[in-house]
Amino acid sequence: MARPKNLRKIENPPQIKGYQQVGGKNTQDAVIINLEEYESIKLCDHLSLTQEEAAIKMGVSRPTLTRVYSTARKKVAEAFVLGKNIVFEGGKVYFDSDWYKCGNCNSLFNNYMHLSKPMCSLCGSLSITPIN
Amino acid sequence: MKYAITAKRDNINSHCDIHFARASFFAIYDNQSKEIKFIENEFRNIPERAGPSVVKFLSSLKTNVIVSTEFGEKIKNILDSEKIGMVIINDNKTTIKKIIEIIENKKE
Repeated sequence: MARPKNLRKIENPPQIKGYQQVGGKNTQDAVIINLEEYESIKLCDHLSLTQEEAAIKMGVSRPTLTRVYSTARKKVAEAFVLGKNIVFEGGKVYFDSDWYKCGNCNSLFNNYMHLSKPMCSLCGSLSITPIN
Repeated sequence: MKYAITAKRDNINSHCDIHFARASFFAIYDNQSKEIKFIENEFRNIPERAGPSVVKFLSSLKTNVIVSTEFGEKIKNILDSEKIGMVIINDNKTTIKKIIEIIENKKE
């Protein structure tokens, strides 16, 4: 049996759930990009870190980061070329503290007081969904 | 609770600033006294370590929650250790007035 994947650390969850293509036919087709893949693109391409530095930030080895990053780029390319939507979802990840999305005011917030029943820090709403 | 909201200008119709440590102003709002105070961010032009300096400053004002549209990569750990909450607003066109309205309607 293959060894289970180690958890990968994510700094900030993505602000949106994904992307929708414009003008194509099969609007339901989507490529699912894991949060660890999203983070690898963010660190390597957006923040221009080296793969070595990105691997340290995510708490994985450099070869693992390279693998995750290459899958991420493949998926982005697939979405671009075949006109698919992109959805950010899942992955073996953890955040520094628990992050939630508020269903009422639409903001993202962290459970900094480590409450067992967290509520939105901004509007106090309990209709929240955990991001992981 | 005391909230620090990043602001582009020093009035309540200003938009939330997209940078945290290099924001132009901070709107400090206390939901008990309902008092709003705009403070100029004197750390915004320092070449490095603006984030930690701002966190230290806001922590000295006894801020509980910081509202911004983005947080730099080094900031999260510092805010976690200072037990200051983070709120990320999705829309950077949100005004300070709107954010304060949301806080005022908060169910405690």
